[in-house]
Amino acid sequence: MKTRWWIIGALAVAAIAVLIFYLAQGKNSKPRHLDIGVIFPLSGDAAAYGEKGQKAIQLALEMSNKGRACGDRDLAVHIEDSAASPVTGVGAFQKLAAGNHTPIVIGDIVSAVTLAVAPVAERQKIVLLSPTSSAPEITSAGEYIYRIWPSDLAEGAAMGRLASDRGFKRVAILYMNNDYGNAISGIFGKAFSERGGQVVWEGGYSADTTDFRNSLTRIRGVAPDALYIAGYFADTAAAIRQARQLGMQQQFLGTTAIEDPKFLSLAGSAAEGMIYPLATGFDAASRRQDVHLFVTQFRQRYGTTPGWVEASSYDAFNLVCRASAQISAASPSGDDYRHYFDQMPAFEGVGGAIKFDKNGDVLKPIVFRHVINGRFDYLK
Amino acid sequence: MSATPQLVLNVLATFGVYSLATLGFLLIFSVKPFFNFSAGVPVLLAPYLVLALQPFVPGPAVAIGLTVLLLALLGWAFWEAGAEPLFRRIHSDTILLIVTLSLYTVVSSLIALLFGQQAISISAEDLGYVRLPLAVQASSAQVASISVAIIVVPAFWSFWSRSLAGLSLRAAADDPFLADVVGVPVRKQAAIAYAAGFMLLGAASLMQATDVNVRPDFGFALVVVAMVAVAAAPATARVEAAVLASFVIAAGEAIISLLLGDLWSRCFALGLLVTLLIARSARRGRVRRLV
Repeated sequence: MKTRWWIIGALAVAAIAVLIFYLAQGKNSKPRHLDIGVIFPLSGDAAAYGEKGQKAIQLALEMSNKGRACGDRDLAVHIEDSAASPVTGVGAFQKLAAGNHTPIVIGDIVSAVTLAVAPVAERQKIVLLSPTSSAPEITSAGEYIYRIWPSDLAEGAAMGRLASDRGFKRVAILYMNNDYGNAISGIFGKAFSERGGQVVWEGGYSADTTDFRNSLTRIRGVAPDALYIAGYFADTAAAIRQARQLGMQQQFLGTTAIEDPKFLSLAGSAAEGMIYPLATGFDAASRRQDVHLFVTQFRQRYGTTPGWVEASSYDAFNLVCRASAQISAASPSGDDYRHYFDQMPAFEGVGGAIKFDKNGDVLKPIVFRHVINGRFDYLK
Repeated sequence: MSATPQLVLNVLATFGVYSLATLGFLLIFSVKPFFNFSAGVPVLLAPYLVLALQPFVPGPAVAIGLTVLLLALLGWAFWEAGAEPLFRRIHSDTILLIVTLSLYTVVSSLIALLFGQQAISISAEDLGYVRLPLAVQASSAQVASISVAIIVVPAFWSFWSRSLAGLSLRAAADDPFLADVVGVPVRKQAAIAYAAGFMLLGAASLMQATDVNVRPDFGFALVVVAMVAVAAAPATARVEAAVLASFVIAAGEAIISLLLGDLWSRCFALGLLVTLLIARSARRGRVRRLV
């Protein structure tokens, strides 16, 4: 009997020793390596946005690795260029999935690429987290598809309501012929018409159009109260500049995409008074500590003030970082991230709180801004 | 408010740009007739050269003038160091087309590396506009392109058709061996044609670039228009027909834009090129069958 107790005691001591040894080893162990994929348009029509997002991700990576914000994970980011092209984007995604075995990919900025990559991500059970894709179709793109930017349904409808509230009766729509332009202009037109407004002219242009004068001449001919341009900042700038040269004095309405310092330099005085919605809570002038830290660090590193693309990309990375820290599995899978995102509490990012609904969408308030005295400001 | 007078002005301004590019390409085409995409190089370089020069010169006008001169120099250098040795070694037009297209792509990539992919504008502020009767407004660049075309097109026509220099240039283009035998300095003529061609293409590019954004793929569409206009013209009346073709393209684009929208107007020049090539190929086939 006595011997039995001795054996049990020795085993218990050995077990405790093994446990202590194991825990101590765990504490001193190196951070667990984890590969994260990023697909951004670093060339092509949306390269300007991709470069901004890339800078923000690189900064977020450095800050998080420095402060061990991702727990015991050592994140490595692999960035691939989608060239804003669905075909190139799918190729880039497959490269990340096959070459780096990433369980989660941040991207794309462009809706068309996100939509093209979504079915592949679904098949391979890899989570796709878009920082800025806004096409309404993304809502039903799949269980592994998430985004931290509200759907165009919100932005387009809000802009349509604003146009009506401002007393415009007749509006012309000029849209970029891609998923983004088509979707947002359609929603804007619907919201505006539902409130009794009339869309008197509607026409598209391709992403590489630089001369809008023929379309603008026809728009001038129908004398609308306002012109809504659903495109990116460079083409919108060229269009409004040429519109002013044609003598058009109408109110110009734009999309979130125009909020870029380059827009102001490209459009010059033609931009004055242009109204646009902003579907993010990010404000570079905010006194919030996390926002201040991000803006200061970004300015120090790149010499420019971050905008909505940078803020959203920064939030996307930090969300992945937090999820990676919270997931206990040694090698997290896409399903681990999916379960985490579906059940996580609200994540407070620099662009506002992020909480996904059952479709992987977020809800964020829409604010309106305008160009006044050569800079962007809140519309009062 | 009728849109027609404004559309007519838009067509004339576009024609101004197209006609200059067409004449520039015609000169290059006269040295060796094939779809020479190196003509896209001055179109692409011109706005970026203006941007690069602006900080070092007193004003944008000086930067534009210097750019045009630099492009003439580049045209001459390109003939001496690139085109002439290439034409001596390679006789297949298809290979030359691929080589020149690759050259354009390389230059485009270099520009993307140096200046970035983002759109830029060469005129920092609005250059103003001119109010005309019938509620027509023209930007300064539009007025400039119409004015320059009014001066350059007839001057080029008289040079090409009436002057001895033009005659020898055409002789060298028609049959360089025979021209050489009768004492025409063929190599010198070709160098001049490249210098003047690059200059005209650069000028056309700058007139277009003043009102629009420029990116590292800028100029390709303009070169295609110039190629179509020159390819459409019969050799016997090349200047008149090429200029007329450039007007047809400008007007055709505006009409299609009016009827079907901007998305379709962009296909017009390429559609015309494909139609021309098919028609020519069919005609050649008929001639061969008759023989």
